[in-house]
Parts: sequence; C-alpha cells; structure tokens
Amino acid sequence: MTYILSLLILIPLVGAVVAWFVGTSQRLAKLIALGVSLIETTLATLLLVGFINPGWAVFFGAPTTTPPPTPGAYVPLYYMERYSGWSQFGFNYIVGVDGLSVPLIWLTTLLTTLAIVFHWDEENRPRAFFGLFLFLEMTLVGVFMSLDLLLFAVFWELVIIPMFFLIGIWGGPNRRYAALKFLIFTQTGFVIMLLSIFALYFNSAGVNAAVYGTNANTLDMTAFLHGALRHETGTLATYLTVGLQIPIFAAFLVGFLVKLPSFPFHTWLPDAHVEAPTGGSVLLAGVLLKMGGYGIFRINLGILPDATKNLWWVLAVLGTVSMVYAAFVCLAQVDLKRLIAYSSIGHMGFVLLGASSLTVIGVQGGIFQLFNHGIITAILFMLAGSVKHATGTRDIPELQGLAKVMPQFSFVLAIGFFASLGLPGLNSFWSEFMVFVGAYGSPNLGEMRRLIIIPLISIVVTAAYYVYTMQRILFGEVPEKLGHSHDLLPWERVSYVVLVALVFLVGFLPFLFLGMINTYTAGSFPWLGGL
Amino acid sequence: MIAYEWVVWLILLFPLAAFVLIGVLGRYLPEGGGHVAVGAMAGSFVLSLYVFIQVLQQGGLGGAFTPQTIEGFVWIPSLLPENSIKISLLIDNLSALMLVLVSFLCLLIFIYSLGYMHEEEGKPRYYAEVSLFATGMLGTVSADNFLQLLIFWEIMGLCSYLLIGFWDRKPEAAAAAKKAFLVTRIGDVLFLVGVLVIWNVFATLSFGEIQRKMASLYPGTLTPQLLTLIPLLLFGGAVGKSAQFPLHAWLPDAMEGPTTVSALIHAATMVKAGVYLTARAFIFLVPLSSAVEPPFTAILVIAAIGGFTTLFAATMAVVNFDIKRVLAFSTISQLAYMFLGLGAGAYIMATDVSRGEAVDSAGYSAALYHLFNHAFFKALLFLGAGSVIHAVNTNDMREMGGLSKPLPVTSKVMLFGALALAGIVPFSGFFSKGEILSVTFDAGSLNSGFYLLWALGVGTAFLTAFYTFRLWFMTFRGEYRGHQHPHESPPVMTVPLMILAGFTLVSGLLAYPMQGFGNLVFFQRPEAAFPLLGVPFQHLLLEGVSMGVAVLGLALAWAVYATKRVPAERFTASRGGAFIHRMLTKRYWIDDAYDAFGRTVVYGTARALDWFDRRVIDGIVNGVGRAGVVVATGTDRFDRQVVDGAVNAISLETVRTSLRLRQRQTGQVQSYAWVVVLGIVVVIALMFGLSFLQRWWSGLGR
Repeated sequence: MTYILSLLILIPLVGAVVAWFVGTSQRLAKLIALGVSLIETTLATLLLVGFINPGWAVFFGAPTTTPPPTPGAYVPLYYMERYSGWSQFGFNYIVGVDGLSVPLIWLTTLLTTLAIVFHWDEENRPRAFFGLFLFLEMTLVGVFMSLDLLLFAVFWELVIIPMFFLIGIWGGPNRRYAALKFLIFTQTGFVIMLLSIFALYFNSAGVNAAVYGTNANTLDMTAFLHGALRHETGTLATYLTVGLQIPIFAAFLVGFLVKLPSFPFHTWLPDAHVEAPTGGSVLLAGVLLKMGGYGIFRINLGILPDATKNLWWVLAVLGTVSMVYAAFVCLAQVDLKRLIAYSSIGHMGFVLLGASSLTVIGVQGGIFQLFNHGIITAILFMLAGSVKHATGTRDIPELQGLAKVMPQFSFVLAIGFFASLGLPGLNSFWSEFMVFVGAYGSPNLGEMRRLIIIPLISIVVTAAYYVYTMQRILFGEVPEKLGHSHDLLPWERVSYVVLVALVFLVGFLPFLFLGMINTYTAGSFPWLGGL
Repeated sequence: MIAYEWVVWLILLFPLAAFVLIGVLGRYLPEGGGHVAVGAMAGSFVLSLYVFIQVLQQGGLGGAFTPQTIEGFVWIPSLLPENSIKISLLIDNLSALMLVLVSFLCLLIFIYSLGYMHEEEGKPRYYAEVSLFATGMLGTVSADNFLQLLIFWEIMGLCSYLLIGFWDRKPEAAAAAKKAFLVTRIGDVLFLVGVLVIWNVFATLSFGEIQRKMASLYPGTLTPQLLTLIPLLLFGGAVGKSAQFPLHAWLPDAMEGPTTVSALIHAATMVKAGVYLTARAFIFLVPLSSAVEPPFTAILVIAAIGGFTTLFAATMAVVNFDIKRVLAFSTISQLAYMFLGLGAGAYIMATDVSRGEAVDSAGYSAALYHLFNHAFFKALLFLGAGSVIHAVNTNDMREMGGLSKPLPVTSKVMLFGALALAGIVPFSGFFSKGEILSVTFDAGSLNSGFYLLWALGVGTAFLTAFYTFRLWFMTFRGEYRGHQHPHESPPVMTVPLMILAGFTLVSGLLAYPMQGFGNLVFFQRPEAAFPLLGVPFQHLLLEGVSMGVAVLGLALAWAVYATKRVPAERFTASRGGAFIHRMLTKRYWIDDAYDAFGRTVVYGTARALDWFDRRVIDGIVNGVGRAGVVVATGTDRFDRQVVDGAVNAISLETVRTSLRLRQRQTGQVQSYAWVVVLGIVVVIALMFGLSFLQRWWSGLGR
C-alpha cells in the first residue's frame, strides 16, 4: 500500500504551518512556499506520469485498483487508502484517484506553484499570503481525492476559507463585498449540497450491504459508485430509486452549479475575480471552479445515473445558456479581468453541455475542458495581473498599442486568447470539439440535435470579443502614458513559459490526457451512449 | 506506393521548423530569418516535387495511382480503435499537385519578400508567420480527414489574421484583421458543424472511409436531407475562406497587409482552400453509386453562389481605384468561377451517376485547372502591384500612370498577368475559364438555370477584361500623376515575377502534354477531352464567345483609359449611372450593413445582457442579501425582546451570538470565516466525539 495520496494532502498542510511560523521574512516565506509546492508538484507529476503510461509509474508502483469484497463490476479507483477507525458513524477516511481526478490534482499543484512564483514580489503579510496558498492547495487536493462524503464535504468547505482571506485581505478596493458575496454564495450552495449528503447517508444501508456486505448506513462514496455501476450494468437490481435520486441530484447540482458557476448562480464570480489578487484568481478560476465540474462527474453522473438520465436537459439548457449569455456579456466588458471572468462562465458551460450529452465523447470532452480551461484561464488571469502591474490599469479603452511597448506580453496574450477561443491545434479546441460531437450525437436529443447551432453561436461571439479586445489593446499607436510600461517581469515569464508550453503540448498531443480520461469513462460509465 | 513515404511529413515539418527557429532566434539572423524561411520552403518544394513525380511515375496520369494514407499517431483515443481520430496524410493526385503548387508559390513569394520586406521592421515576425502559414496550407492540402483539414485550415486563418494586422500601428490594419477573422469564423463554424454531422453519420472523418461507407449507410443513417446538408455545411466553410457572397466582405479589406501576404495568402493559396474543400466534398456531391440519390439541391446552391458572386465581385472591381483592391475583387470573382465550374461539373457528373452512365468529370477538372492557373497569374499580378507600390509608395491608381518607362520589367510581366486574367489566348486564363463556361453551358441542357449562370459568367468575362486593362492602362500608360521618383525593383523581386510570367503561358498549355488537365487531378476516371482541341465544335464556339467578350472589354478599357476617346465621366453623367457608380463604390452597402448589424444588434445585445446581469441578476442577489439582513435584524429583535425575556438564557446565548454575526457593519469579514472554521471544527469534533462516545457506551454495555 502506498501513501502517496495522503502525502499529497499532508505536505502542503505542513508547508502552510511551516511558512506561517518560520517564514519571518518575505524571502524566507516565499522560498518555503515555493520549495514545498515544488515537492508537491513533483509528486503529483510522478502520479500523472503513471497514469499517462502505467509502465512509467516507477516510484510508488503501477496504479492498482481495490475491488470491493463482493463479486461483480466495480469502478476502478487507484492508490486507494482506507482507514476505518470511526466507522460506526459510517465515516471512513478514504482517498483514491482515477483519470478524472489525476489531471485536476496535477493542475492544482502546478497552478499553486506558478501562482506563488507569480507573486514573487508580494510584500503584504507574506507569510500569511504564501501559507494560505499552501493551505488552499491542501484543501483542493483533498477535494479531488476524497472518496468519503463527509471527508469530501469537509475539504469542500475548507477550500472557502483561504480563498475568502485571499480576496478579503489582498484584494482590490471593493474586496469586502466580493469576499462576502463569494462566501455567502458558496456557503449556501454547500448547505444545500449537505442535505443531499444526509439523504444519501440515511438511504445507504442497502447499497452498502450489496457492495460491502455491511448492512449499515455509510458515507463511503465508493459503495455508491460501485453500486451505481452494477445497477446500470444490470447486476444490482435494487439501488437508490429514481424518486429518491432526483431530489438528491437536484440538491447536489445546486451546490456544483454555484461553484462552476453556471447561469444564474454566477454573479459572485466576476466580483470575486475583479477584487482577488492575481494568484487568487488563478486558483479560483483555474481550480476552484473545477470542483463544480468534478462533483458533477463524480457524484451526479457517478452516483446518481438514473436521475442524470432524467434530468440531463437541465444541464444542457443551463450549459447552453451560460455559453451564449456569457459570451455576449463579455463583449460589453470594459475591465479586462471582468471579461476573462465572464469568459470562464461561458467555458464552464461546455462542461455542463458535455456532461448532459451522456455520450462517451461528450463526457470526455467535458472532463478535458476542465483541465484545458484551467491552463488557459490561468494564463489569462496572469495577463490581467501583468498588465495592471505594468500600466496601472486593466481598462480596455485605456490600453492601446501594447504590441509595441510590451511585445512579450502581447505574444502571450495572443496565444492565450486564441487558445481560449478554441483555435484548432491549441488545447481547448479538442475539448470543445468533443463536447460538440457528443452533444450533437447525443441519443437524448433526437430530432432536437439541430439546436446544436445555439451553443455554436457562442463560438463566433467568443471569437468576436477576443479579437475585438486584441484590436483595441494590442494594435494602434502607443498613448503617451503607456510609453514607459515595462514588459513581463522575469518571474512572470517563468509562469507563462510553462503554461504556454502546456497549451501547445496538449494541443498537439491531446491523447496524453485523453488516454486516462478514456480509461476513466470506460471503467465508470460503460452505460454511456454514442460513439 | 511512394518510396520513402515519411518524406511527406518533412514537407510540413520544414516550414514548421522554420517557424519555430525564426520565432526564437529570428532577431539574431540576417534578414530576420528570411533565408531560413526560403531554405525551408525550397526543401518542401523539392520533396513535394519528388512525391509528385512518384505519383506520376506510378500511373498518376492514367488514374492508376492508388491514394496512399501515411499513418500518423492517434489524437483522440477511443475504445474502438477504428473510431479513434488520427493525424494522417493523404497522397493522391489532387493533394500531390496541390503540394507542388503551394510549395512552389510559397518559395517564389518568400524570395520576393527578401527584397520587398527588406526595409520593414518586424521581419522575424513576418517570416515566422508566413512559415507557419505555409505549414497550414501544406497541411490543409495533404490532410487525410476533415478534422485535420479543419485544424490546418484554422492555422491558416490565424496566420492570415496576424499578417493582415502586420502593420500593427495602422488602425485600418487592426480593423481589417478583425473583420477577416470574424467573417471567416462564421464559415468555419458551419464547417465545424459539417464535421460533427459527418462524424455522427459515418463514425469516421477520413475521405476514403466515407466514400466506402456511403452506399451502405444510405438512406438509413445517411438520410437524403443529411446528404444535402453535409456538403452545404462544408461549402459554408468554403464561402468564408474563399470570400464568396455573402461572406466576401473581408477580402478587399485584407489588402491592408503587406502585398506579399496579399499575393500569397489572399490570392494564390489560402483562399483556394475553399475550392479545395469543395472539391473534396465531391465524395458527397457525386456519390458514385447509383443506389444513392445525389444531392442536386446542394449542387445548385454551390453553382448559384459561384455564378452570382463572379459577376457581383467583378462589378465592384470596375470602380475601385486601389490597385490591390481591384485585384482582391478580381480574386473573389475568379474564385467564384471555380465554384461555378465545380457546381456545373458536379451537376453533370451526378446526373451521369444517377443515370448509370460513364462519369464526365470535365467541370471538376476545369475548376481545378482554373485554380492552378489563377494561382500563378494572380500571384504575378499582386507581386507586380507590389513592385509598383514599392516604386510609387501608394496604392492609389490615380497617382500612378506612365510607369512602363521607369518599370519596364514590371509593366511587361503585369501585361502577361493581365492577359491571362482577361482570358486572351494563348494565356492560361483563357483555357480554364473557357472550359468552365463550356461546362456550365453543357449543364444548361440538364437544368436550364445553368444557361443563366453561363450568361453571368460571360458577362463577367467582359468585365474582367475591362477592369484588368483599366488597371494596367491607368498604371502604366499616360502621364505619371504622382510625386515620387519611381525606379525598377531589384532582381530578387523581378526574377520571381519573370518566372511567374513564364507560367502564365506555360500553365495553360500544360494541359496538352497530359492530354487534358483532368488526367492529372482526375476524379474517378481519366479524361480524354481537353480544352480547345479535341472538344466538339459547339465548344469551340463557346470558347470563341468567352474570348470575344474579353476582347470587347479590353477594347473598351483601351478606349476609356488609354486613348481617353471615351471619357470615364460619361458613364456617371446620368443620374442612373451616378447611382450605380455610388452603389458600386459603396460595395452595395453590404459592408455598412454588416458593420451596423455588429454595432447595433450584436453589441446591443451584449450591452443589454450586461445590464441585465448587473441590474437584474445581481440585483436579485443583492436584494436577497439585504432581505436576509432585514430578517436577521428582525429575528434578533424578536430574540432579544420576546424570547430572551421569556426563556432561560443559557441555551439561547449561542443562538443569539450566531444570529448577531450577520452584522456586516462591523466590517470584520474575517470573523465570518472564523465562524465557518469554528463550525466545521465543531461538526468534526461532534462526529468524532459521538463516535467515540458510542463506542465507549457499547463497550460499557458489554
């Protein structure tokens, strides 16, 4: 048994404490944070490599699954750890990963490291700042690997705290409003989600008996995952009834939609982003939003498949509305960062649409979109930070001719924008393409599949707002007051180089990640339709 | 089988490597890495030629060459290996020819750029971007499936955007680049939908697989509606890329880029990709199985858009004074000829197929023949225009005139190009244009609508000769009207011009040694008939008609602009004439309408939704928040005054404290988070504690 997953949770936690208590100077604090996050990223990379090709998993053994004691199909979850010290309450410490969570865990560790690097000159309460980043990393990694509902909920809730402080202390002028809005929104979503967890708990005895042979209520997510799989493949007759699944599905969905966010629960996001410090935005858009998508795939599809088959249209409608709505709203934005924030809402719409298709390629596209959007949006929010740092403003009408004064910045901006608008050859094209293929081919839709043209409108509008923005800020003569703007700072360059390289790498070789995602959907959702 | 088939990858990788190399090190290289770009392109050209010769040696001319797929790696893995999406290259007659054509033109234009761009800033950017463009175009024409074609297609679109905006300080350039990207994007979305539909019907995107599966899927999975829809969606992409009506508006504005870019991307290669795509879509238009009913509606739409656009664009070329814009309108018009030829050809072929007769692919080969010829003479005209602009520093023909003395080479080569474009025998345009018109006329016997399209085509031939020689006479004849001291361009620019001028003669006659161009690009069968000779008498007559009107147009241009015997003002003197002139200069107000649509409808929607988001949705959110505070305050008062007074305070103290926390006025945002932390800690402690208690209790009981 390996302890790699627990280690991934523990290292940043210890790092956060050390950074807080030992990091007396700014230099020391950031060096500790960087060192710890680098160790964490290295471990996560080793984990990722093992998933890209099991033959390369040399450090902690090839990924192995743990079958439940009863015979039958089971969802493959790797590197599982289970401690059942307090199991009377149905609570166990269970962690495990698969092709859904590994890319997100790796993304978390990578973006945390880059966010720390990006804030190399942060002088305001450095040890709290860098310590909070590590703490945030711990909670996010925890969310993506928890396989117990209570553990999941605890980490989910813990994520809010460091982000709340990052916005509330290091944010812009209106930070208190933004932080409170973020807190109340996500907290409300969480509370509604908690109802579902209780409901699952009180109806879990039968599933637990069928899968683990214990006729007692449990919070063990794997019991539901295995049970749902067996139910869908026809080997387990009695599972949670549809009538029960639907309300549970709905309450979970509210929590996830708030986090994602989807129309109409999205208004906390632009405010939070506009006020958040750059690193906070990077993690907020790059990883926190992905929790919502992760939850939809892990819980709504994984645990409540019958309800998903009934309520897929909710996802489809909300996803489509988010895509089109956000694209138009982007076109009207003045603040570059607010524009990018709204674009995130639109791109998360793809995730919903992909999940709603209930086809293999659509679900894969949705999962892949989580990862790709994390990379791209990190670039974009860093750019918003860089331009504010260099010119003192993020307002698009005040920026002009940056191609001349900030060529490196402009180069990265063009790549980020084109990647975000789904240019073929760059990473997010693949996920968006797969989502569209899935949505169009969805057996749910039937004759309504020609409605695919509605979400496709968003592609044109997305191109429009990005190209329009480039026209305004990159082209033209340089105004006097921007004449002395400095280009990218050395540590900023490091972050950009890594992310841009990833955009191209994943764009050219998408199978690196699609392989493990394919294994995941094959193992967890053999019941999905389509090609 | 092509020996050493991996060299086909190198054709794409050379310019890609040049792009990376120049992108990274261009600043330190002489000419901004121009020589690297030229060298890479030369390598691609040699290898393309090698592949082409292999194809010919293996019976390419006789139709004996079996299309060969060069397998790459898997892009999107799938559970079923045959459903995985791969990157692979396809070598068949058409792609081998296109590879040679594209790499040759890229090579010539890169060499010309060494002179033309010599004094520009930002050369590394230029050479990096044109190298990437070359990769995109070569990848487009060698793609084995529609998705791969789409990917390289969009890479070209990106390069087109970047190069139109090359002079980034010019606001016009920025606006033109934006317009080009967005207008083509509309077409690209249609293309993308086409790919989605194809994938869902055929479960594959490769050209060969689709053709094999066609008959077995019809009419169940592949309904007649879908068979009509698919080629139309693909054609939608072509309309955007090849600037056909109604997505034509971007191409004239794209002339804001450097002239070499206009020559390469917006005349010789990228805009041809739409024609190439439509040619590839022939697997849908002409299914080659009598069990499948061909999609005649789709074919008619393609032909009609081609026929209409050809005249439509030519009329706008007549009144323009910008030398490059005239050529841009002409490009749109000539591309439309190709679509007309494809449409008419497809109609004849589809009829043959459904009647079970031998397929006559004359239209298909005529259109591709025109593509081939046009690539040479239009590149020549643009580069010649570039040489003129280089000399006089303006695009405006009103400030030119009499330039044949200072620019003897340029004026002569441009005369060659003009004759080819006008379609005067024996220059190349004559053969292919005449062939397209003959095929269209033939199709008229099947569907009389084609007679109308033929008439439009003949009218265009007249206008083409007129505006072409208007351009030439205004530029090179008469007195010089500008204020520069024009001088001939250096040999690095004039030598490529002379090579291209040679091709305006050779490329037309090339059809003879290969017994008709159709033998080279053939679709399903070698072609016996070839232009001018070996065609029925009525075709000779038709060729005569198209050439006759061209001569008339030339003569009119000569009368108006060379001898000035007929003053140009006479046309605009009457009210109707003035109105037409105004309409044509305003480009039928279509650009204005698009701009207005973008400004009011699209941007208006954006503003409205932004307002909605801030006021309505966020208003509701804030309203709920405020209501929460009000309720909390009320509860608090109730709690203090009623409950607190009545009930013992111990248990309620906790409740009251928590209720007070809604007092945002304290401003201590952190305190809220502490409550959350505390809450979680309490919950966890409770759960663990209860769990231990329970265990302890059960232990006691035992």
